[in-house]
Amino acid sequence: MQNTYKLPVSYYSSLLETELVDEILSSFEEHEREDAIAHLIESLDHAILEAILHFLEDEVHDEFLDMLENKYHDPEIIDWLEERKEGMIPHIQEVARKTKITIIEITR
Amino acid sequence: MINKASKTPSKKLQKLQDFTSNSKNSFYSSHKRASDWLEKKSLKVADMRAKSQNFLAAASLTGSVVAGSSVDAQVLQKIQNQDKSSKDLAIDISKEEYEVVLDKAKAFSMMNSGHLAQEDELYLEQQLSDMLGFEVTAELDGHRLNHSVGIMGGEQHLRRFDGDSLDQHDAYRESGMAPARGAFGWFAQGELDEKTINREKYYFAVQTLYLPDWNTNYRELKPWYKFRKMIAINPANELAVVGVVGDAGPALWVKKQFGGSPEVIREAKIWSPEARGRVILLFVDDPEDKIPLGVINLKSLIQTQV
Repeated sequence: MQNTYKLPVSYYSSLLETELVDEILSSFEEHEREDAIAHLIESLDHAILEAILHFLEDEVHDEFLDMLENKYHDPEIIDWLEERKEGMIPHIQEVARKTKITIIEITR
Repeated sequence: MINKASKTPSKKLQKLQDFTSNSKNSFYSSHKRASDWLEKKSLKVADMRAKSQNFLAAASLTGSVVAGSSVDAQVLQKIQNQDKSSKDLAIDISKEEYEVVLDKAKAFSMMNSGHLAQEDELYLEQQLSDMLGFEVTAELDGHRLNHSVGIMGGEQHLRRFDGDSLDQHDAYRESGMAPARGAFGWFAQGELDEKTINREKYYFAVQTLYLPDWNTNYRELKPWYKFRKMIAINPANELAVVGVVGDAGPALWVKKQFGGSPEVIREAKIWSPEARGRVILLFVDDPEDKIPLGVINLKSLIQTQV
C-alpha cells in the first residue's frame, strides 16, 4: 500500500497534488526519505518562487517577498497572487507538477 | 533540514541533490532583484520557510501554559455569565443520564486522535445534541475534518482587521498576537461589531490544509470552513465552548490536532490538569446562526426533574 506523505505547510500547499509527492518519496529507501523530502521541498520552493516572480509584475515583487518572509505558510498569499495576476494558480500548479515529474524521471 | 551526517547517498539521492542545486541556482540567476532582496536581509528561501514553521509550532505550544489564578477569576465570571444562556438552550436531562454521557465522553476524549467508531460517534452526537438542545455532528454537509477527537493547543489572538493591535483586545493579552492574519481572512471587513469580536474571541484552528481533498477542492472548501461554527467538548471539566473556524493549523509535527483562541483555551479550561488539551470537536448545525458563541457549563444542562 502506498503511503501518503505530508509536506510541511507552505503558501502553495493547497495547489500540490499529493499523489506525485507520494510517488517520489515512496521510491526512496526509508533511511533516505528524510533527505529526499528536504530536497523535494527545496526544489519546489525555488522552482515555484522563480515561476511566480517571472509571471508577476516587477513592482509588486518586494511586497510579495515581504509576505513570504512573514507568513510563508499562509494560503491567502495564493489569493493575493491570483488577484494581481489572473492565471497564477494554474501557472503554479503546472510548475509544481513539472518539477515533480522531472524529479520522478531523474530518480527513476 | 538535510541530514549531512548520513552515509554516502544513493545515486538516486545524489541526482535529487543535483536537481535541487540546479533549481536554486536557476532561481538566484534568474531573479537578481529578489536575490538582492534576500541578501540584504541575510535570508535564504529556506529561512523564510523555517521562520514560518517555527511560528506555527510556537503558536500551538502556547497552550501548554495552564491558566493562572487571576485568569481563573475572569474565567469563572465568564462561565457564570454563560450559565443562563446554557440553560436556555438545554432540554431536560436527568443527572443519571448526564453522568453516563459525560463518562463516555471522557473516555472517548482520552482515546488516540482521530474519529470514534461509527456507533460511538452516533451515540455521542445524539446524546450531546439532546443535552445541548442543538445539533452537533462530526460530519456536516458531507464535510469531515481529519479528527474529531484530539488535542487542542493554544493559539494567539488573531488580527481582526488590518491595523488591529493587541491592546485593542480586551482579555488574555499575555497570549500575544499572531503576526499574520488568520488563514480564512479578516474577521471584520469594516467596523468591529459584537459578532466579529466574538468570532475572534472564540475561534478554532483546524487542519484544513491536511484534508485529503484540500489541494484539489480548495476553492469550495475554504468558504465552507470559513467561520464555520463548531463546539469543543472538554468532558474532563464538564465544559464546552462554541466557536468558529478562524485559522488553519496546527502543523502536523506539533502533534496537536486543533488550536483554540486564548479565550477558548482559558475559559473552557482546555489545558487544566484533568483535560490536558483533550477535546472532542464537532460541527454545530446552525444554519440560522442562532447558537451563541462562548462557553457552556455542561453541568448547568442538568434540569431538576420531578
